[in-house]
Amino acid sequence: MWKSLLVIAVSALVARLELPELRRRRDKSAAVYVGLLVVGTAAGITAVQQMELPGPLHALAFLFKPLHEWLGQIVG
Amino acid sequence: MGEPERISTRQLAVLLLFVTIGDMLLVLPPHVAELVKQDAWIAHLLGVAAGLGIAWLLLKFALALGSEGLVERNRRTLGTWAGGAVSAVYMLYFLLNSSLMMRETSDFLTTVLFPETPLRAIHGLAALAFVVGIRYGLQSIARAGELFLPVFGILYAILLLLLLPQVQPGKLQPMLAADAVSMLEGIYISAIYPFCELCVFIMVIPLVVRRKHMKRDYLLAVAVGGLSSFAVMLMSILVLGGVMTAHYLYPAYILAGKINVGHFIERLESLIAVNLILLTFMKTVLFGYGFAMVLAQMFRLDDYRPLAFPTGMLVFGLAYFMWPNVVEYNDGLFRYWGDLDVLVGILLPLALLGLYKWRSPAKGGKASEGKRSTAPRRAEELPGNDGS
Repeated sequence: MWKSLLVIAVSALVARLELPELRRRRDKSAAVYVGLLVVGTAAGITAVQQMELPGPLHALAFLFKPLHEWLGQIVG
Repeated sequence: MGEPERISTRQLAVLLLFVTIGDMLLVLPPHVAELVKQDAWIAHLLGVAAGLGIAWLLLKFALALGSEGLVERNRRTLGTWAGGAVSAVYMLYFLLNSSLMMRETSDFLTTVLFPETPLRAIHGLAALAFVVGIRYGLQSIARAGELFLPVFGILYAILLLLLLPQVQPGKLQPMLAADAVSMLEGIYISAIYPFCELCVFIMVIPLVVRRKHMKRDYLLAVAVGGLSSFAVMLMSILVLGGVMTAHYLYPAYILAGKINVGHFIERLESLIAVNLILLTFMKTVLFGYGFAMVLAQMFRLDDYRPLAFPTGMLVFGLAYFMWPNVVEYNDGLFRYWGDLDVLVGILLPLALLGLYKWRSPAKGGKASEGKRSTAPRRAEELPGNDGS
């Protein structure tokens, strides 16, 4: 538990330092920053909690597996 | 973009060298050697030759994009959605590759040097350096590369020179014993993995100060990088033999352990480990830069540098749940990564280059003409995206 809180605290601290400057800009910097930070913090929490999730490469394997099987049949 | 960053051709060459070699000293020798055993060096050499073709294609693609860069050009040519989809593919690829590099480094470190250290601790430290690298921007990354180059060169030369006494030419026999299919697969692996990943340079080349010799320098740097990883491959066949190269997880590291000059200079593994970390770190940062750059361009931000910290956080998390353990990566997921490499390194650049060629003659009399032709083009691009 305290590990997740630590990740959130670090994110919040850095956002506190960096966001005010970004919010003064006229582009969407602040929105993109916050969005990315939320996703990043979620990813960071899964990492520090050592959750067992199917990784992004498993999705890749799922996508490309039929291709490999098909190629394997051709080559033999 | 605020004040445009610029890097010199020399810095480009240095970065190219780092990316081409990158993690290939770690992952390539066992995979190629597993297929063709002692012929791995032949496969690798032919792979470098084929890889130069891929590198040339990517350079042509990057130059065709002009100063607009990937995202703007695709938005203009393909429209918001199809162009955005292409940019998103590259963005995800850069992000995944960045996390992959970080995970490969930490897998390597926890396997051979720090067996007791949790992955997350190494990721945390790596992510810290990563954030600082992106925060300071491409120029500083390139300068760091220039600074690291002599360190890399010296350590690399030490590895190769001190191994010369251990060389056993007999290990190359029997030559050309592998069957054609495995040979082709070996060539494919050693061409795809190092050279398709050069696609990160389509985000870098628009920022390079144009010189007459840029093309030549680019190809030269890629060739030197490819040959450097070839030399390590050849060395590991000559010293360890084909079977043992395939057997070890990290032959380059084992190779360093074989160094023994009169029982006086020995156990140089950590020196070589430093070198490998350096190489992969440069690659991690450069891909992280690619990710932040594409993201910033997609949302039309002034600057990508403020995104450094969230990117670092994301890579820190992704690197952990990339795969449960190193065995699963090496035995299963590694080959699927190659498919993605082919998609972003060969198929998409080819398709997009064709589209630009097709599009450009219509430039003279655009207006209504241009508007009419966007709809079918979108329809054509999207199936190419997921179908390949």
